[in-house]
Amino acid sequence: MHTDPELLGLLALGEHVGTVEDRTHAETCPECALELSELHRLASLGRSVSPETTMATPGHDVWARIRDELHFDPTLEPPVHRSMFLPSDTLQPPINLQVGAGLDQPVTAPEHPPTSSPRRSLLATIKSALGGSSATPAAEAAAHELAAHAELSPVEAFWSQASGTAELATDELGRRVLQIALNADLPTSGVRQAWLVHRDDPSLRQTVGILDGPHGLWTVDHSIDLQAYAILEVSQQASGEVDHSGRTIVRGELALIS
Amino acid sequence: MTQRGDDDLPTVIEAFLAGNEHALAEIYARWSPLVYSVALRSLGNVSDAEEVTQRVFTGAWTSRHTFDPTRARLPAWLIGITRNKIADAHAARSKQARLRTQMITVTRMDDKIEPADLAERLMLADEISRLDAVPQQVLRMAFYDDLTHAQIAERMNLPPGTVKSHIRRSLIKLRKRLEVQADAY
Repeated sequence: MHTDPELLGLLALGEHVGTVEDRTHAETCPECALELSELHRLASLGRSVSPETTMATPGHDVWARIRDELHFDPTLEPPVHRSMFLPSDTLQPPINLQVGAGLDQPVTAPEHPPTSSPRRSLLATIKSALGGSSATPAAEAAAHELAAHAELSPVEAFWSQASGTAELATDELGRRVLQIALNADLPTSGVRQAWLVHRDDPSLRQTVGILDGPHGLWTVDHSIDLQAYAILEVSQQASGEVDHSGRTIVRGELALIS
Repeated sequence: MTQRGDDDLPTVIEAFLAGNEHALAEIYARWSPLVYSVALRSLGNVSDAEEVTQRVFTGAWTSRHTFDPTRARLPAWLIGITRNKIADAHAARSKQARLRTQMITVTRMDDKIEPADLAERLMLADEISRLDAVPQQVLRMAFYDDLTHAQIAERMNLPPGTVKSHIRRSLIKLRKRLEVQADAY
């Protein structure tokens, strides 16, 4: 009798399960051994994939460029609904950002695959928060020009339970809008301050601003080179403290998303 | 679950080979995220990745007569073209790098990983993200938290048998998806 398929699944994940006979059979029966090795390869591959790995979609004008180059009918559009993949921005972020809390348009997790992406909702939130007007198609395209994401991880043992996410997007006026959602047991004293730290020289840092509770929402001046100042930090600051306290709660690198 | 739309792929391929431009639009809709994501991961730069994407699909169109559906699956063929275009981009870039002192990129680069492997990882991650909430959580705990099915069962308050079934079914689903990539290399 062949090994129970469900047992094979667990063996492929490296669990020590089943009887000696089960395991011997799984390794010696050509059929079961093949299945086991395939599932094992899959499990290893799965483990090598970062949970944040997501599919991205090219900008809208890429198709237009292809169409022009090949002299296709200029009205021909790829059928969007036929995509084999969820664009990365329809995926739920690992932590619910709660970016809308306290703002006009709360961003809530959709029950069904969303028709408009959370990032677009995020932009809508940003626009309403900053009093922007509704976006034109060109503005939408511009909004997709620069977008970055950072997973924020604890730095010191004291904050080992802390985490957070940061999203950076360009709004329709070309402003680079940075949002942070911090998930930590915050002390009642002092304030939390966000910093952009130089990736090569941590002594170089720019302050971004003070968080409002667990949330931060700022625009980032274009003079700050985000390719160099790519490390985002949130520190615990005493009230009135001007310099970085050195007590970093979370840190993460801004990675471009598109 | 969004519509995957791969049922009529043979028809699309037939039309593509016959030179129907709508078929290329279909193929672009289905596979441009994969091509683009592989290029983006490998090149670490949006405009380079978009240019590669453009070259892959224009290249696929002009060399469509070289595609033999009996020998390779379409995505594998596209990823083969992607690999070449990425190599071209890297070559052009190292030429430029001699002129510039530093190459600045914003996104994490995986340029040491073969495009085919990147494609496989991206597809796997995509497939994991498509699993229903509970099986997805189960698999993530098994993969990334290294928990046994018994530990997962306890944490999720599920019968161990259910967890076992979820793991099995999810692995089979993932395998089915990756079969698309399995040949042609």
